[in-house]
Amino acid sequence: MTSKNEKLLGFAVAVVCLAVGILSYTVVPAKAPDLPVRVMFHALGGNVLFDHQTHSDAYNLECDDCHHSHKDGQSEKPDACGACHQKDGEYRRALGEKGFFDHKVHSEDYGLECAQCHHDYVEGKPGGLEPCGDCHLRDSGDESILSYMDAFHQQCIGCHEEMGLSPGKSECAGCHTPRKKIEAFHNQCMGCHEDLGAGPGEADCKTCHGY
Amino acid sequence: MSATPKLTVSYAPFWHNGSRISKKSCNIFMASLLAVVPGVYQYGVPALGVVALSVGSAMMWEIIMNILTRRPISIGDGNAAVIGMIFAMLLPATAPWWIVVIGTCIAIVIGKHIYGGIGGNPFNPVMLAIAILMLSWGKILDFNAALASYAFNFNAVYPLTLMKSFGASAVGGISLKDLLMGRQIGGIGATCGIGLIAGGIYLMLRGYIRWEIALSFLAGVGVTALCFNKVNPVYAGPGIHLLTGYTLVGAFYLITEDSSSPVNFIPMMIYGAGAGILTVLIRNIGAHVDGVVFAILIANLINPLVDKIRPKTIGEVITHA
Ligand code: HEC
Ligand code: HEC
Ligand code: HEC
Ligand code: HEC
Ligand code: HEC
Ligand code: HEC
Ligand code: HEC
Ligand code: HEC
Repeated sequence: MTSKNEKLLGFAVAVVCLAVGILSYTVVPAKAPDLPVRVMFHALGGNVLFDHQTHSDAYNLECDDCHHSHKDGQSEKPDACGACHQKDGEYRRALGEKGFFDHKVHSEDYGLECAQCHHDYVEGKPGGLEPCGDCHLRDSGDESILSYMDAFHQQCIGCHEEMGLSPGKSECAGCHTPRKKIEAFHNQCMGCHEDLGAGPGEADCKTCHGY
Repeated sequence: MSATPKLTVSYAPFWHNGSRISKKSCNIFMASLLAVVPGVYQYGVPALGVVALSVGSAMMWEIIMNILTRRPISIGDGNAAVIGMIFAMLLPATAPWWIVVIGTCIAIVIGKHIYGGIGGNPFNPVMLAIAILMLSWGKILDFNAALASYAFNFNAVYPLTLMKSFGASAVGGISLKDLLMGRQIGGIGATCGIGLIAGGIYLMLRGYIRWEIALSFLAGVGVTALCFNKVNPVYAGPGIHLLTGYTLVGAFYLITEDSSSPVNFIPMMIYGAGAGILTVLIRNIGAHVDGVVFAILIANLINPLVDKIRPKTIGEVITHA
């Protein structure tokens, strides 16, 4: 082949390749699948490659086991956890000094009876005002009494919803701000693994981190 | 002394005669398809887009540089197309368009033309480009993250990541046959072992690449991996080192690039084996998951030095009194 023909061939190849390249990028843009297959979390101390497809298909988990915000009705679809649980987020309890719950306002301004909340309290008799957590334990395993979280949720949210007030069930953030990203993931991932006795837990940092 | 200029003959690299370059480029290009086509089949249209854009944009940069440096248009020799093709072989199928275009720009402009064009580059242009991209946009070239949306019927974790973070036992279940058949994730043209080896054998037999360099590189990788594995079995054995990452593509398409590699037998052996040894050292105890890129760049760096080992000249230099 003469060098002139080679040059022409070169131009032809260049034009065809550029055209095919541009077409492939624009006509069939890389589309993320509806459901993630794997999710890569870039984290200090080692990236985590979470196999979403295997977790939801092979391990027979319900979407809502993890996408709690969807179950609670906080979000319409299973959202990215990071949308609420931010890297520098700070978890605030509902009760306590910095909490959203205002005891004084609830007991004095809203016209509520003490006994509506302190269910063992009887006007004029001693006792019945102990902290709820004295009896409603975090994990007592006792079926006959509500757990710590459920006792509050049932009472606080129950009254609000009965009276058509907010914050209601799907407005978690009205009573707590979402915890930090790392805690949200660690609690949920390792919590489930430890509950089910399968998958990496507290002692297996290196099984998750290192991708 | 007479002032007439003498014919000075320097050592390699030499400038090839145009038509031989184009034939050689054509052969390398075709051979690479043996590995690239299976990759495109596995990853679909996005991979096709990366390959086509890479080849096309490399040729485009070549033309632009030809015009800027006022030289004849040289895309006819096919060298730019080969650079684009080899660059695409190393990329994940999801590489965004701008990474492809920047990469070929680095390869053609900085890797090749700044040094005077074909034959003058001290570094392999593709290696230079991919190294710069790895340092600047490492996450995009991280195959685990880049290919997270592809569902495969094999373990979809980059085998080099597995062995680096989790040791040899994590890759124990991967069969070498799977790796040969391309049942692994990686660069578009870097995973199908059979295709790479077939193309490599063809190019070596036809003399388009130097078998001395390719085979000494593979031997360097294999022997070093074997030594590590024998001393401490937490390090993976030679088979997996040879068939994953950029090893095969490195042996047949990267380290054999003419102008950045030596030409005599002993230097070629030192150059190839040295890069092979370095590759495994970086993989096993260095910071990077794959060592091929930096190993080859370092080998390019020592190339002028090892190339000084050359046969004695016949005859004798006589200095006149
Ligand atoms: C079940 C898997 C899993 C295990 C086990 C695990 N982690 Fe994590 N870790 C994650 C995920 C998921 C993230 C969230 C990454 C992000 O911030 O996007 C994370 C985040 C982190 C972060 C925050 C990184 C950042 O960039 O902010 C640190 C630090 C961390 N983990 C340390 C540890 C340590 C120490 C252990 C062992 C006690 C451990 N992890 C065990 C999954 C795990
Ligand atoms: C084992 C826990 C788990 C299960 C089960 C699960 N997911 Fe997820 N899902 C996640 C995590 C973790 C993410 C990543 C969120 C992030 O990037 O912050 C995610 C991400 C997603 C996203 C992407 C959200 C976004 O906007 O980026 C969608 C959509 C989704 N999941 C839907 C589902 C559906 C539908 C199911 C049920 C078939 C399901 N998931 C089951 C944990 C789970
Ligand atoms: C719409 C916002 C929102 C999204 C999306 C969301 N969360 Fe939450 N999450 C909250 C809020 C608000 C709370 C309550 C405050 C707290 O406990 O941090 C909470 C609580 C939690 C808790 C503590 C409660 C418990 O059951 O132990 C964990 C763990 C958690 N989220 C993990 C996740 C994970 C994992 C995802 C993604 C699959 C996710 N969250 C998605 C808002 C959200
Ligand atoms: C809206 C519900 C509600 C009402 C109404 C209410 N309380 Fe409380 N009270 C609480 C909650 C919740 C706590 C915190 C319990 C905890 O920390 O476990 C609390 C704490 C207290 C404590 C402190 C307990 C301790 O040892 O920490 C006292 C005392 C108390 N309430 C008295 C009263 C009295 C008296 C009334 C009526 C005038 C009243 N409360 C009305 C919900 C209520
Ligand atoms: C002295 C122990 C004790 C204290 C303090 C206590 N509880 Fe209970 N609570 C119980 C027991 C026992 C039950 C179950 C038996 C019953 O229905 O009375 C119960 C039941 C409940 C129920 C379910 C009631 C129903 O109608 O089914 C709620 C909600 C509840 N507690 C919330 C609270 C809250 C909120 C506080 C603090 C303000 C609190 N409890 C303080 C012992 C306690
Ligand atoms: C017996 C009914 C009742 C119970 C039980 C109750 N609340 Fe309320 N809550 C109210 C009323 C009434 C309002 C006022 C709503 C308004 O004015 O919009 C309110 C408002 C709030 C608000 C909105 C902010 C504010 O102060 O205006 C928060 C936060 C809140 N409650 C938290 C809690 C928590 C936490 C608990 C459980 C410990 C709880 N509430 C239990 C009746 C109740
Ligand atoms: C009306 C107020 C209210 C709303 C709305 C609410 N919570 Fe709570 N929640 C509480 C209170 C009060 C407690 C007791 C501990 C505390 O002070 O936070 C609690 C406890 C918890 C705990 C246990 C914390 C612990 O220390 O063990 C979790 C987890 C939690 N809530 C998550 C949620 C999530 C998720 C939502 C939304 C679906 C939600 N909450 C909505 C009031 C609320
Ligand atoms: C609702 C339960 C649940 C949650 C939440 C969950 N996992 Fe799992 N995970 C499992 C189960 C079940 C297995 C199966 C273990 C087995 O079969 O050996 C598993 C296994 C794993 C494994 C080991 C897989 C292997 O091949 O050995 C990893 C890694 C893992 N999970 C990461 C995560 C991360 C990261 C998260 C949080 C983003 C997470 N998981 C959240 C249930 C869960």
